[in-house]
Amino acid sequence: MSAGPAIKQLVHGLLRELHSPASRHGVLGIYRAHVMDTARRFRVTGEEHCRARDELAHLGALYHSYLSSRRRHQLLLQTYKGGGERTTADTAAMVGFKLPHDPR
Amino acid sequence: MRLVSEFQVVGALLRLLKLCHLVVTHIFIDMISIGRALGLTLRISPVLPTSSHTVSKRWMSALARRKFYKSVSIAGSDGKWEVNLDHRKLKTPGGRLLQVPNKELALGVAFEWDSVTEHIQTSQMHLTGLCFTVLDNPHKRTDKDLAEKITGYLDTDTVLFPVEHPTELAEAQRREWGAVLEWVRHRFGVDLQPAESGSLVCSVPQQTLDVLQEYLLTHNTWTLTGLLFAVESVRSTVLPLAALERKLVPREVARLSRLEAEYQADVWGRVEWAHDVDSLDTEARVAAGMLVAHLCSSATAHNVKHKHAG
Repeated sequence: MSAGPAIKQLVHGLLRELHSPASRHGVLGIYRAHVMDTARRFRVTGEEHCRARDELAHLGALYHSYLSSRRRHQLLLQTYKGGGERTTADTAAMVGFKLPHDPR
Repeated sequence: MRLVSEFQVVGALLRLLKLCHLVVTHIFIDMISIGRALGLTLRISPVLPTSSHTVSKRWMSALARRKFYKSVSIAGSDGKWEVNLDHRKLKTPGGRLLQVPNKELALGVAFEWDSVTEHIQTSQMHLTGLCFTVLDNPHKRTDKDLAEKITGYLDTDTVLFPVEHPTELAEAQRREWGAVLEWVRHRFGVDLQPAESGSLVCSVPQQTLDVLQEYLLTHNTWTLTGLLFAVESVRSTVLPLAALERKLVPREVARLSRLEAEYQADVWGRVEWAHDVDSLDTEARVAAGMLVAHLCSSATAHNVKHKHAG
């Protein structure tokens, strides 16, 4: 099947994206199971161009694109998050002042 | 003390900006300009965030809740799928139960909630947001309203405004956008020409609008909402339409809508924290919109297969 290797690459890519570091509780299984299940179900087809398979490949590519772009976006935001604001005490210390002790 | 009150002003401004959602990420908080005006500067470290100084969590909690569940699962059958956080069913902000017509979409939503590490940032969970929008319909939009909004972007469509200078960019735009426009003309049998150079609005013939609206109204609310989301993120009707018909992938849609920015980045240099952040965000939004559009479309063959398979 001409679409075989491309789909295999897609499935591998999807599984890689779904390997989220966040969920280590074994619930990840449902996503992987669904991807493998769907890939298996539409693997065997007598036709050269199977509309359902092509549509599923397109959907898979869409989802992969969504997951990977979201992950890389989050990664960039994390990397360039910045130190944030200085505390009031720090900024006062910068110009040689101290904060008043008495909050009144 | 005078100095302390200045910090309070800066802090209050920052809080106000955040609450008004005028800032997207920390890097866009241009505190340098505000700080300079008051004779102070804030440190922006582009390499790694240091742990000692963090943004106060006081107003973070207003925008991002902590993860309050351990496991996410889906449940349902046929046309109604629900997402469960621990044992609680996920509800929309309007209080309705989240019920989606497609298993893959439910899995997508579940994965978004599953991939939360500490704080739930709903602004980055596009599939969830789209499901909430469809179910709650906060703006009370009918299908016709959605179709009108989608075609409403046509007179200021990105693809209809190529530049004159520089010539390289103008050529690339006419070539790449021209191909998409040619496809639209051929597919829908409508007339769609780029705007005159220098004009701010493109005059789209009424016949084009009618034909496109008629086409759009053959889709259901989910598809239209997904499509509108993509349209709003690239400010173009033509590109998401091509994506809906599977002529373009989200990355291409994002790239085509940002041809000028990409050209400038090639010429003047690429800045990761601006160019890449922007292009990835656009790609994610378009992909999410297209996912919802395709998954919930009644024209998808594999949906039919599911029904037969039982």
